[in-house]
Amino acid sequence: MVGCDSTPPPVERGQYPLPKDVLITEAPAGEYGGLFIQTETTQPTTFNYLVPNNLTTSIILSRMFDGLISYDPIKAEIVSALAKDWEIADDEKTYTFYLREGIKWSDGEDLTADDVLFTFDTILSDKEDPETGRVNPLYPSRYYSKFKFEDGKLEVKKIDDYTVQFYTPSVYAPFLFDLMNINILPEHKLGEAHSKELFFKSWTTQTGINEPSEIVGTGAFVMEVFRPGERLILKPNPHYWKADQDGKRLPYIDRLIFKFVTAANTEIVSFATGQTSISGIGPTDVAWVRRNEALYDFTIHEREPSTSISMIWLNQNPGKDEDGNPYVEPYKLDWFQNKLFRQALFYAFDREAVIEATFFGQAVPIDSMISQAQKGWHNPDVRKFRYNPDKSRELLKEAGFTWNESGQALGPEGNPVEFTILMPAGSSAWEDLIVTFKENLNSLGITLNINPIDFATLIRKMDYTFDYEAGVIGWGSASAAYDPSGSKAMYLSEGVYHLWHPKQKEPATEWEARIDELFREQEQILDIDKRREIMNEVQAILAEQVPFMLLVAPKGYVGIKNRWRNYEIPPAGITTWNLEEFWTPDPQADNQQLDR
Amino acid sequence: MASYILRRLLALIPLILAVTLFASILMYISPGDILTKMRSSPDIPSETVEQLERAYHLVDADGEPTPWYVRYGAWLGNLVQGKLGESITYQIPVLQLIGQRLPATLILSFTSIAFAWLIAIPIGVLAAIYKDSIWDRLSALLAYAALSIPEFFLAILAVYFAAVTGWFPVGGRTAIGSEFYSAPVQLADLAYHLILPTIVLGIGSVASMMRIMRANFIDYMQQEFATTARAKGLSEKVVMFKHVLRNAINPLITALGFAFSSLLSGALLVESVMNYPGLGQLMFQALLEEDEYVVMAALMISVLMLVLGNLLADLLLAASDPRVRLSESGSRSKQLSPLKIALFASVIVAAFGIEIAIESLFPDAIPAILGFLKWIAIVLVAIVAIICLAMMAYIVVQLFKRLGKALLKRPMGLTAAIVLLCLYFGAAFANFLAPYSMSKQNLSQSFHPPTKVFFGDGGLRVQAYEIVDRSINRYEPIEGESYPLEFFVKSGDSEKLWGFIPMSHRFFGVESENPNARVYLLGSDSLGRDVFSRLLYGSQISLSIGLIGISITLTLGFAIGGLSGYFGGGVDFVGMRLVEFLLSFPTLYLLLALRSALFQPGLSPTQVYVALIVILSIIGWAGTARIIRGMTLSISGRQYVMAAESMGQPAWKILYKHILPNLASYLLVAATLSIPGYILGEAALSFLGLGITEPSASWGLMLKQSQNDMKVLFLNFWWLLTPGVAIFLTVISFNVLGDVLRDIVDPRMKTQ
Repeated sequence: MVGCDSTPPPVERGQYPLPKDVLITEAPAGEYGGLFIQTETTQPTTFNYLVPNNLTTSIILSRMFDGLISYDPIKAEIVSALAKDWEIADDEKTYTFYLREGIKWSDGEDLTADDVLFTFDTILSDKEDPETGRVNPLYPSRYYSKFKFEDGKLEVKKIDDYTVQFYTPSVYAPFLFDLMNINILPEHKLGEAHSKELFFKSWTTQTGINEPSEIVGTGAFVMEVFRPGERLILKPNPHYWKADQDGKRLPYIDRLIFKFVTAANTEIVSFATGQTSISGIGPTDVAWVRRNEALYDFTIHEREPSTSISMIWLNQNPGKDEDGNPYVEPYKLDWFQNKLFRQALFYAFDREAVIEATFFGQAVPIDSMISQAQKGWHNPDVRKFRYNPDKSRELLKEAGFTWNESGQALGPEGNPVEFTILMPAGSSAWEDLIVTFKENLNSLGITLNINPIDFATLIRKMDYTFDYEAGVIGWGSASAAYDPSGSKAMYLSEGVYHLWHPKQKEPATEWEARIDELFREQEQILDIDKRREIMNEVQAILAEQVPFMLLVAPKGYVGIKNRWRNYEIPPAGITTWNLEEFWTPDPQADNQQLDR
Repeated sequence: MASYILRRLLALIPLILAVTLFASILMYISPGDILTKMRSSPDIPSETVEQLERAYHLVDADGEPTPWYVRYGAWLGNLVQGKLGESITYQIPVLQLIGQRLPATLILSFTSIAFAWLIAIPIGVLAAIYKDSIWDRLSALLAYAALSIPEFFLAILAVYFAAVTGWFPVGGRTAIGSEFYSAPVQLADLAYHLILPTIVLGIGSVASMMRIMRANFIDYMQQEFATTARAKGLSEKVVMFKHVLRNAINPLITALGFAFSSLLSGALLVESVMNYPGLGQLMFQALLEEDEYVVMAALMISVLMLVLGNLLADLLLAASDPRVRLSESGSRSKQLSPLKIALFASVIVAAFGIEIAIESLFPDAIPAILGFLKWIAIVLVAIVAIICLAMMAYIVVQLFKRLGKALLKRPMGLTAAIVLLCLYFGAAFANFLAPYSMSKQNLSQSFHPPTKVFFGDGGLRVQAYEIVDRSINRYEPIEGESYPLEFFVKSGDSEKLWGFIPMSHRFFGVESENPNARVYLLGSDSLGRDVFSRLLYGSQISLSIGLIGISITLTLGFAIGGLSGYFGGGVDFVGMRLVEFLLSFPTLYLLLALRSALFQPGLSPTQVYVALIVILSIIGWAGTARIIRGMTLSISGRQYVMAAESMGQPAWKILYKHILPNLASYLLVAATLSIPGYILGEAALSFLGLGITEPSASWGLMLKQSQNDMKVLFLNFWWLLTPGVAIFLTVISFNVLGDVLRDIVDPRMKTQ
């Protein structure tokens, strides 16, 4: 389609005055114009962020909505957003937020404290189930339980049109981090649906297709076009509340285009052939993508290893099923519950060799439950397990294991050491690691059987039936990215995701009891340094006890076109966190990309 | 005419009911539900999940799983009120959701059918007119090639081609900026984006239609009416294009109906590789996530498309050929009274009724009944297996008796047969021929290129390599360093040939102190495992799946098709409705649904393999049964069958002694021509991550692993694509062999 005129209609700027409490950004001022194109491998499933959704949905919505506060990944601190300021009372439970005055929704209506109250009302509304008598959230979402504490629900109060007060019944340290994820919604658009209890049926994908302008937010962008499976185009919000140092309203970009692709392959190829502005790049693709740097004028930046954690665990659940059969053979349970056995297996695991072979050396073995990309929270001084078969044998001997003449390992009670690991089928990321683990253990005389199963079956066994020996799973909790409290259900022994032995009535071991105690303690301290100290101890205990054999974290790379200015790539998390500040001196350069 | 159309449309109702009921049960059996993703998310509390379970009626008030008949009943109730339900993921009515995607799929289906017709007919006609010329041979060769490449593999190559040349867009349906184009440019843009997907999707049908066209054209050119026309002085041009072409095109019209529906499911893989936003992707996602109402609605649409497509084809056929009259039944089959149909329907309904009654009244009896059924199933499987073996033996004997000599005279067929023999030989003796075991790793030598083997120092030697650039895994030969390649080396592992003959030696290998001294005839994979060895081990699965699958398919096809054709009436009715039911279920979805229902946890790799075969053959037998029924129908009217009947021979004897021998040749040809389907089916399933898994190896799995990222193509690790070559070689050999055999059996269909 070369030669056809495809310039998008120009964006009208400056038709509305800046709000009274406009936020002037620190970045150097730039010029208007330009198209920013990025790819996504999944589809948005809704435009109502309270409806359970996926990563792509939340990335898109984060461009169209704002919370009261926000997070600056470069400074690693909480910064103001819709609220210009906030204070915490001496009781450490009362938070007062002062909204920026004069902010308007993208359709021109005023944003007031009522919208904040409305948003929290949709999250916290509940209703008694007539059949079971239980009180359930009206709109089940991940947020409801976040603001429901042991001593009651979060209370939200309007002080005046621009002041809102929150009260947490108990001292709860992660509160600000949880609040960061709450986008404020417009009451004038959704209030009616909420009063009819039809809130979840509002702002569906069909709304995005038919009436994109109905989706009203305060974010930097508003929706222009949505074509499911193809693309979603955003344009600047004419009422946005940030401006640069010259007083020009942000964002600079004329169009933000999300192109939907089905495979990560296509995503990388598109970027490598100059069709998109930015892309994450896997560690083994860096080398060939880099060859095109000069041709398509982009640069590849290295980031910290990925924040997601994946692990192998052994089932330590001593329970029995309804028929009285133990979940795990008692003699195997004895091995699995033995710290020395778990440590020995971890020492036998040659993760470094897999990193060399399949990641081309571009990954690191994970040592702690909190990834090293989570600066501040990560404890670098935990016990580290590196491939050491001799040490492994030593530990097994210490634990009473022996070997017969054919080299087969025998448990203290004389049974040959053999167990089965459940691996979600089709998860090629772990395949190489697990297959190597099998070979590693084989040379120790231990037989590991790999059982590929449906992901759904793994979840069922892990959460409900518990009848398995070992498993492998990945861990990527969005809310744990800033504050480890998001992974509460894993740390606490009563938690559902305390994978090796979930839903304990009483902590089964001393070290689990200690983690429970530490974790609860840090939730009640607002001083972040003290909290981090406590979490360091939690990490150290976990590393020593090895309930999880952690796998590897690939190094992250991100490629971005050279003509963009003002980007700052944080060590982890979303790269384009300050997209509204991005600008380009050459706004026409991207127009030809529109024809691809 | 109107009543004919009406009757055909009425037939839709039971078909849709059956297909959706089956889908509903399969989804009920398969592990997991729409909430699986949520259950696995650490920050969603279990109370929320429990609340949603009730809200979506996955469990009843007591927290017990809702029985399947309640779920299906609820869906049916909605349907009667004209509601198809809502998608849980998207929170919108399913029709709206499907409406978002349907146009894209329909357009692609139309263009690829049109593409196939526009290319296939002229080439087929040209090949027929210039029979045996170089063009004829070239087009035949291209057709074989086109039929032998897995569709998804072709799609990957197309994407790579587009990315490297920049001549075509890398996937997508419209350009990013198409919203800002003027209307004519928008259309042009749409067309531009359709080119590659159309070619990829249509090329398979081009090949098969071209061959049909050519064969028909040649056939009709020698018919009496053509001779008459020529004798009357009509020019050759007029004869060909006015008389012959019109007749020769008829079978293609019939094929149109099927093409229409199969494109819908066939497009899934192409859609997902080429990033085309059609219904296939949506439905695949819905099936994986078990978004039940979306699956049901999409299934209804595909059944609708099949029936309407077939109807359209029949009407077109009637319009183009006045000899064809619209009627449902063949002339020989006996009409079935409405009473019998009602009886049949009520037996089915009663069976379900009893099941529901047992499930709701005596839930404790279920495990006992299931256990009993399991035993019956095992016995049945054993019987079928024995019959299958006998059948295969019978056919193979027939092959040598009838066709062996004729085959020797045809170089193409002979070559294909020899290639296949070699491949099967390799599979049978993999444990001996492969230099390393399937899983022997060498992590310091991942993505090693094929090692050079040369002659020197009085024997074959293997070049040594060292890694020079870790970031792209580039290896260079070390000057002057090599290891001797030895034959009959002692193997370190204790493998058994065919499971019982212990193998102490391997055919060849390198013996050296250095653990890095290895011979990689076809390079190594991401874990430094020998690709050549894995290809050999993988062929055990990939090559046997076709053989076993086809023997089951043929046996079932013969049993059901033969019985239907011979007895007619009620048996025929039941048999053919079953066939229609299976044929109207989009293949790939049936495959996926069966797979998730059959793959229970704890399956060993062998059981996964068996389950795969069962799935593939359940899908495969229906088409065969239909053709065999037709052939049996015509044979059973012959005099010798009637004679046998009047002499009082029992039915099974007639089927075995008189009908089977007459079908044997066809069965043989059908077998060779359908084996590729199994090999490609296994590859497609493994490609989706749903087939054979690590630590086993199959060609499909290996090909998928090499496709995991683009580095294989961009860093030129070409040896990882050899599984694709192996699949291609096998499939093309089977196709050529099948064609040659068909020529021998039925010279009229000669395509060489």
